[in-house]
Amino acid sequence: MRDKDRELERVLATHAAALSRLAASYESRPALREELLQDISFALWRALPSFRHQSSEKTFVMRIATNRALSHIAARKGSDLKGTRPVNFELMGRVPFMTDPILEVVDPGPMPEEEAANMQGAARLQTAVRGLPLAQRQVVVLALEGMDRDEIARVLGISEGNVAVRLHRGKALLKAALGEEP
Amino acid sequence: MIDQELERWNATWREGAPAPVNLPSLAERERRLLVAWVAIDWVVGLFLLGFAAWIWFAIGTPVMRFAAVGIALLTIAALAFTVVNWRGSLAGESASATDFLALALNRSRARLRYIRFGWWVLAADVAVIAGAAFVELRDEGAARIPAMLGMAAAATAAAASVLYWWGRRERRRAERLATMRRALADGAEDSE
Repeated sequence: MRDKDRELERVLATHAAALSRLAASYESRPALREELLQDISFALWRALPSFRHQSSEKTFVMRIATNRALSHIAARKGSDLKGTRPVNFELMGRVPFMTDPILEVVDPGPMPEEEAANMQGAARLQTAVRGLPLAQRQVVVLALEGMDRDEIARVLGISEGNVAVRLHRGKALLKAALGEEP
Repeated sequence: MIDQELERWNATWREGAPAPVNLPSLAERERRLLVAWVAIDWVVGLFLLGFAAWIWFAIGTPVMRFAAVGIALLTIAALAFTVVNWRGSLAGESASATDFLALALNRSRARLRYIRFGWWVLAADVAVIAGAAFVELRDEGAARIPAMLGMAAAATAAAASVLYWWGRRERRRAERLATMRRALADGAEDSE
């Protein structure tokens, strides 16, 4: 086995769970999620030789995964800007807040309302995160993966102040979605 | 400062890793898929170049030699695009999301320009075929005209279908990328 392949195996083993969660935050359908993970894994294989350790390995991996997720959203078959259905948090017993039109681009997967009522814990959080507008979702997902503001700013190419604002809004939306007190 | 909400959600979040998949095997599968795509491009390209050479040497009439040059030039242009496109689509992976989106949008627009150029090439091709049919009719008679026009119509229809399908797909992709970029930029402006 070549060094490059060995290195890829190590990196993927280290970050497999985080990558799976990130993929699930952008794609609800299992087959398409696997397709996204395949894209991410291949992009990592391609990019690893160019990693110069100027940032942490996690930042590097999450950058590539986030970029691939954006590509996935842009290229996804069957998604239509008009014909998609945003997550309806009202059915989860919450105040609806989803007015950001980018939602319509992001997750046109199967409607989660039926499942949402019975969801608990991680699955419910995952669904709520998937329903966030893209700008907030990117930041919240990375924060939930334990990245600090500086790292998130590096991944997304925005200022730390911007990260703070998006995170604040994202958390407020998430709380509302999960029915927690503001 | 410890963010208590994030701490709490973080614990729940980590319980939610979907069933593990063998990521190295997925990378390997994608690599094989891309190699197969590139190989198909080159096999088809080399076949067309061989076909053009055969027309040049085996048939050798001025009209057919003209057609052979056309086939060879279009094939070389398509192969060059393939190389540039593959390289481009794999570039910028480790850039920040903002830079990556800008890059992806530019790439998508470049592909749209290429597709528009393709329509012009196709129109030129139709004009050349009409000219060749006219010369054939004048010099050799009408015997081979139906077959010639039939093949030309089938090839043109196939090329037009590919251009139409690809253009529609690429426009949709460019539209989504632009929407995402706008949404993310709006988010940035709000917070400045």
